Amino acid sequence: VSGLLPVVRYADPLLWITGYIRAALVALGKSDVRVSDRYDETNTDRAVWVLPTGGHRLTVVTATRRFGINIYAPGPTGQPVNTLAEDVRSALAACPGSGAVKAYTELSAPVPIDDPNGIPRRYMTCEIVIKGA
Amino acid sequence: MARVRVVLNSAGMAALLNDYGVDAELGRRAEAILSAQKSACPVETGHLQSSLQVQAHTTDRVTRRVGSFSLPYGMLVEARTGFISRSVDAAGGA
Repeated sequence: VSGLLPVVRYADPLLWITGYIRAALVALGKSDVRVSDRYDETNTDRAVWVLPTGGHRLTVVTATRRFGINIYAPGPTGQPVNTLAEDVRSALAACPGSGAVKAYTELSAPVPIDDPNGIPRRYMTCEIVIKGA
Repeated sequence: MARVRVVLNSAGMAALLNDYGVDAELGRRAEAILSAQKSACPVETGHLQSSLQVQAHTTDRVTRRVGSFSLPYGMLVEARTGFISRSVDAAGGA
C-alpha cells in the first residue's frame, strides 16, 4: 500500500500489560498470582484478569488503549485484595517509558465487585497511550 | 528573552463550560454512548439494558452521566464484559 502517511503498527498492548503486571508482581514476591487475559469462572485464587476495552488513534504514530482490570484475592477480609489491587495500581502508574507506553491514566480506582464465587474482587479501569513504529 | 504570562479568564472559562452549545454537544455525544451501551449490553432479563440512561448532572459545568444507576449488579456485568468502558469510543474524538 502507499499513501501520504506512513504505515504505523503497534505492539500488542494486551501482551504488554499482562507481562508488565506479571513482572511487577514477581518483583514484589508475588509470583503465584495468575495474570491473564482469560476469564476463569472457577477461579478462587489470587489472580489478575485484564480485559481490553477499546481505544483509538490519537495521531499518526500514537494511539490509546483502555483496559478493565479485575483483581482477586481470597481472605476473610478485603485487606488481601486491597493490597494486591494497590500493587497493580501503583505499578501501572509507573509504566510510562516501559515498552511503547508514553502515558498512563487511571480512569477509575479499584472498586469492590460482588463476585459470584464469593472471592473478594476489585475492578479498575485505565488507559495508556502507545507509540507505534 | 521575554517571558509570556498567561492569565486565565476564569469567568470566561466558567461561561464556556456552561455554554448552551457545549451542553448540546455533550448531549449528542452522551446519546451516542448510550446507543453503544444498549447495543453491547448483555441481555438476560433486559432489566440492565432498559435501565441504561443519560443523566444531566450539573456541577460547576454542564456534564452528562451515562450508564445504569439503579441496578446493583451493573458493576459486575461491567467488570466481566467492559461494555460500558467500550462504549466510550462512540463519543468520538475532540
